Amino acid sequence: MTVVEHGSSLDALTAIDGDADSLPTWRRARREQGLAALAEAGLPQRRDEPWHYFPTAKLTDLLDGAVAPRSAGALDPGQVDIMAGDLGCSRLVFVNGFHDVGASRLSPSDGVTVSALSAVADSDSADHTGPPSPSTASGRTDGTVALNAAAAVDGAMISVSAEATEATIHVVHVAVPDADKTYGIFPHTLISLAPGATATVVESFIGFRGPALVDSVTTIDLAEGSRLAYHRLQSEGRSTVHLGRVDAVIGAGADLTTTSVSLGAELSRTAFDVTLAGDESSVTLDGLYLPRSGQHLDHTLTVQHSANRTTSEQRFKGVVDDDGRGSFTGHVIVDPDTAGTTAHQSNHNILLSSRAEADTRPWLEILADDVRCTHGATVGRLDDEAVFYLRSRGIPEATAREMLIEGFAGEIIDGIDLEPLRDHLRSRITSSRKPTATTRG
Amino acid sequence: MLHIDSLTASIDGNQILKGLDLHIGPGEVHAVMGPNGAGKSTLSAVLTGRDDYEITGTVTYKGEDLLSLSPEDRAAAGVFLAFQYPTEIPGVGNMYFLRTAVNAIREARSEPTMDAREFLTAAREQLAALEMDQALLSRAVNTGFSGGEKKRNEILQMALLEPSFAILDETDSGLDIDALRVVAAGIERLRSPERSMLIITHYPRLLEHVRPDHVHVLQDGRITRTGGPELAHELEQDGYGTLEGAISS
Repeated sequence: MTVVEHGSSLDALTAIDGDADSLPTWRRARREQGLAALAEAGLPQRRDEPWHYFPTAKLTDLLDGAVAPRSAGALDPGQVDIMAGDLGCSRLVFVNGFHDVGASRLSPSDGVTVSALSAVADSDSADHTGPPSPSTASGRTDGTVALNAAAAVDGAMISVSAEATEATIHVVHVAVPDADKTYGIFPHTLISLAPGATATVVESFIGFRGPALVDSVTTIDLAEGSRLAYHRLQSEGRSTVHLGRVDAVIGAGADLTTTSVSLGAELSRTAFDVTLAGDESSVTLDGLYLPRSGQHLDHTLTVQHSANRTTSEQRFKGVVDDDGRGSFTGHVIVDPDTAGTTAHQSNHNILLSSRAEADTRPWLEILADDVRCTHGATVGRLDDEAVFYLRSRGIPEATAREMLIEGFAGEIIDGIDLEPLRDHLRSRITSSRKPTATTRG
Repeated sequence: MLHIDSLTASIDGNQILKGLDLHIGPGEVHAVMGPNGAGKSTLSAVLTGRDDYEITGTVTYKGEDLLSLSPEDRAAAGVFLAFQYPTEIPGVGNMYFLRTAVNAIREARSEPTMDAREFLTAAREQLAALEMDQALLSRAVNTGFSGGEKKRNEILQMALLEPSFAILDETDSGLDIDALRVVAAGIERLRSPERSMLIITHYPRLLEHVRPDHVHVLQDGRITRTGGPELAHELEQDGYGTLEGAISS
């Protein structure tokens, strides 16, 4: 068992200073469950279907030498503005998993609770967070989720009621690596919307140069008739390994709309696991990844249709340059005895170099009859006709190619209903496409 | 202005243009007519710099070797092609594209670039003249445009880029009679002593609206006959077949 072989390093990552009894209630409970789940699940293996494209051996190696950062960092808020964008809303900042009060910016708003778990009074923390379970509603958990539960030192907590009129929240996780050792960093975010509530949450994963392992878990709970827009940007430093997991349970008539943009890290896997639990619930998962030299960026999506008249849409695009690799798995499960399911999936990739690679894998488990399901995938080059058309109008070839890449990627960005975020993402994409970007981070 | 001499062009070992000569002076409008497969579209492709062809012969434009220039440098030098099948470019806004093109050419000519407001004013004026919906500016380039809207969008680009030599490749194809009238009027407005045009067409109907100075017949990769506007009418009555017979006899 992997857990046994690497027990010592996992012990180091999940160790705590002092007595476990001194931990706040939420953390003690979550840690115990995490440790138990980790012992049971072990770390992911290549043979695990959801980890098909991911070099799990690298993860095992990396964990072997990883240590837990022991103290909170403090960042200049202006620096966070530059790296994560200033979205002009409440912002919670975590540095290496610890709450950075100085860089955070909370403006009170009726019906909206935004807090670091560490800032919630112990007596209230269990009420606010609900059962702090590391396993998901779907049961599709794995060792990285369990490890996050066992090792996370803090978390962001967002709850929104129907009375809220303005609920836009930005959660920023900054990795500040150490030059000599590999930090294991465990961001954790809980989002819950009460019946009829509406909110927008942006989660940014950014970081500085240096080796680090970021293993994050975001849990989304949408009650009946609520609507959440959730946008996630991963633009960490280039020597970081990023594991992101977003678990969502969608109640009746509720809607989740998400965008996942993956730009940074050397090796990154972002997994969405969505359960459409209530009748007429819906989810839209949009995403974009732009791997280039030495990067492997993976998205693995799972949507389970467990109720009647549910709708899911997956729209992911990849732009792969140099010897980068982009991977997409779109898993759709339609439970037996459900009716009126609609599920669409598309994954389109552009390879900009002969060494670029794209994997695309639709994975459909349809166990009901009344289903409308489509999927389409393409892997191609930039359209030569379009390049010629632009050049024939006087636009230099390099500019023409960038315009087409921006246009292709822009169709995903344009779907985001938050202008400062669109602007920030566009500028991040543009700067990530500049040749100098490969030497950064 | 433009001197084409002994031009040949081959693709995949097939010679399409077989020694074509054509001289176009400043301000002149020439029409090249011919049956399908005569090499009409190859001529426009070679003049605008598609790199799929093996070429011999010379093309001199304003004293410069046109064939040595990249497509964007040809555009900066004033060459424009109205495409027979304008390319759809999803995700790239029409206005952004047009302004980038106008400013790229202005920059290449060391002329001042246009800011967004200035450009919008110029674009709106041309849109109105071409009876185009203003909304087409905010859509993606040619994406979801009707056939007629695509052709008008080509003429719009021609008006904004102000070329000194414009090639109109089958611009009349796929247009209904009202659209043809609007497009032809757009072309006529752009006629000037400084601007030459080469109208490539299968049918003479565009030439009823845009009267050419010279008409050439292109057959099997060569110019086989040259005349005045009356040649277009003759072709309409007798077709290319008769003409071919007349030449070979």
